[in-house]
Amino acid sequence: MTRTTSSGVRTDTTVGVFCVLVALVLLMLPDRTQIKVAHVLSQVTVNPWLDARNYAEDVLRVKAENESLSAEVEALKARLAASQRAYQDAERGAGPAVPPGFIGPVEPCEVVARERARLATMIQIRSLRPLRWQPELPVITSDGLIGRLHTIIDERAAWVELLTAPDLAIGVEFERTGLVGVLRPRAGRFVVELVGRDEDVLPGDAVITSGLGEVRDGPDAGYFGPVPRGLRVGTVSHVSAPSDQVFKVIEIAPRADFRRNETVYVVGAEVLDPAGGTAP
Amino acid sequence: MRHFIRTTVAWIVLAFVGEALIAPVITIRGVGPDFTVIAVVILAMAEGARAGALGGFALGLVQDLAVPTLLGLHAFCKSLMGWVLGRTRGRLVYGMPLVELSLLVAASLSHDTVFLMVQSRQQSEAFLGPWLREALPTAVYTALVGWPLIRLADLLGILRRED
Repeated sequence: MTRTTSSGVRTDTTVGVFCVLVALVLLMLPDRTQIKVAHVLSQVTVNPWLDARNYAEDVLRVKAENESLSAEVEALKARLAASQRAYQDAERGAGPAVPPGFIGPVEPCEVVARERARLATMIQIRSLRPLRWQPELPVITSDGLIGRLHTIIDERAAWVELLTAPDLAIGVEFERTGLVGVLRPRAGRFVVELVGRDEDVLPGDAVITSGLGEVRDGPDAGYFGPVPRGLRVGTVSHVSAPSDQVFKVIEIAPRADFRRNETVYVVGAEVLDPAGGTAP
Repeated sequence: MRHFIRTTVAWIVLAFVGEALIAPVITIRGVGPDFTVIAVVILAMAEGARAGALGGFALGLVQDLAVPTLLGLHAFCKSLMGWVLGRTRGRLVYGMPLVELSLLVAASLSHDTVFLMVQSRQQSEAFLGPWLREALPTAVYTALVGWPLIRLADLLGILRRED
C-alpha cells in the first residue's frame, strides 16, 4: 500500500508538466525541424525494431520465393533429364514406347512435422498453394525421391510415406542399362529386387524410378502408380550374386536425406485457383 | 522491483503487440481499438501519475515518429492523459465494469478530442466529422477491448490501489 506525500505529488506534477512541455515544444517546431528531429529520434528508437521486422519479413519472403524457384529448378532438371534419357533410349534402341520421364508440374511444400522418431516413416507437409492432389503422387527433395503422398488432409496439407516405410515398393531402373527392378526397404537398407544374377549392374550405377506401376495384394490390394519415370532414387552401393540365388543382391544408397528436410516437392499435383478450378 | 518489471513488460507488450498485430486484425470498417490508450490507462492505474506521464510521453513519441509533421502531438495527449489518470486513480472504485468502461471511454475520447483539435488547427482539417466517425466509435471499441485487459491486469496483480 502506497502513501501519497506532498513531495510525491510535487514530483508527479513536475514530471507531468515536463513531459507536456517537451511535447509542446516538439509540436511548436517548424515542419522541417520536426522531421529532422523525428529522423534523429527514429534512428535510436524505432529504426532498430523496424529493421528487425523488415529483416524477418524479408527472410520469410525470400524463403517462400526460394521454395518456388527451387521447384522450378527441379522441374527444369526433370525436363533436362527426360530429354537426355530420350536420347539414350533412342541410342539403346529402347523404342518410342518407353516414356523418357516426367516433365509435369512440381509444387513446393513445407515440411511441418519432420521425421523425429527413429522409426517414424511419415512426414507432414503443407503446400504454399491449394493443390488438387491424390495419394501415391511422388514426393522429391532437391536430391531425389523421398516418398509418396499417403493421406490427403485437405488441399494444403498431407502426409507423406517415406521410402523407409516397411511395405513400400517402387519400380526402379538402372539408368545406365535400362534394367528394371523393385526397390524395397529391408531392415534399414534399400535393396533392388528381381534383377537376374547375370545382369549388368555395377556399384555407382544411378537408380531412377522406372515408371512402372505396382500391383499389391492383401488388404490394400490394387494397382498403384505409376511413379513417373526418371526421378532420381540413389546409386548402387553394393552388388553381389550369391551362388544359391537366381537374383542379384543389390543395395543402393538413397540420394535423399529422410531426416533433414525443410522443403519437399510434390510431383504432378495441380494448383487450384481460388474458384476451385485448376490454375494453368 | 518485480512489480515494476511486470508492469513495464505488460504495458509495453500490450501497446506494441496490440497495436502492431491485434488491432489490424480486429479493425471493423476502419475503426479499431486503441491499444496504446489502454496501455497508458493500465500503466497510470498501476503506477500513478509520474509513470503515466512518462509512459504516455514515450509511447506517444514513438507514435509521433510515424507522423513527423505532428511531432509531439501524440506525446502531448498521452502524457497529459497518463498524468490525469494517475492523479485520479485514488478516487476510482476498482472492479466495477461501469467505472472502468467509462474510464476507458473518457480516456480515449479526451485523447482523440485533444488530438483532433490540435490537428485541425495545425493542418486545417475538419474536427467534427473525424470526431463523430472515428473518435466516438474508437472510444467505445477501446472500452470493450480494454475492460477485459484491465480485469486481467487486476487478476495478475498489476493494478495497485492507492490510499
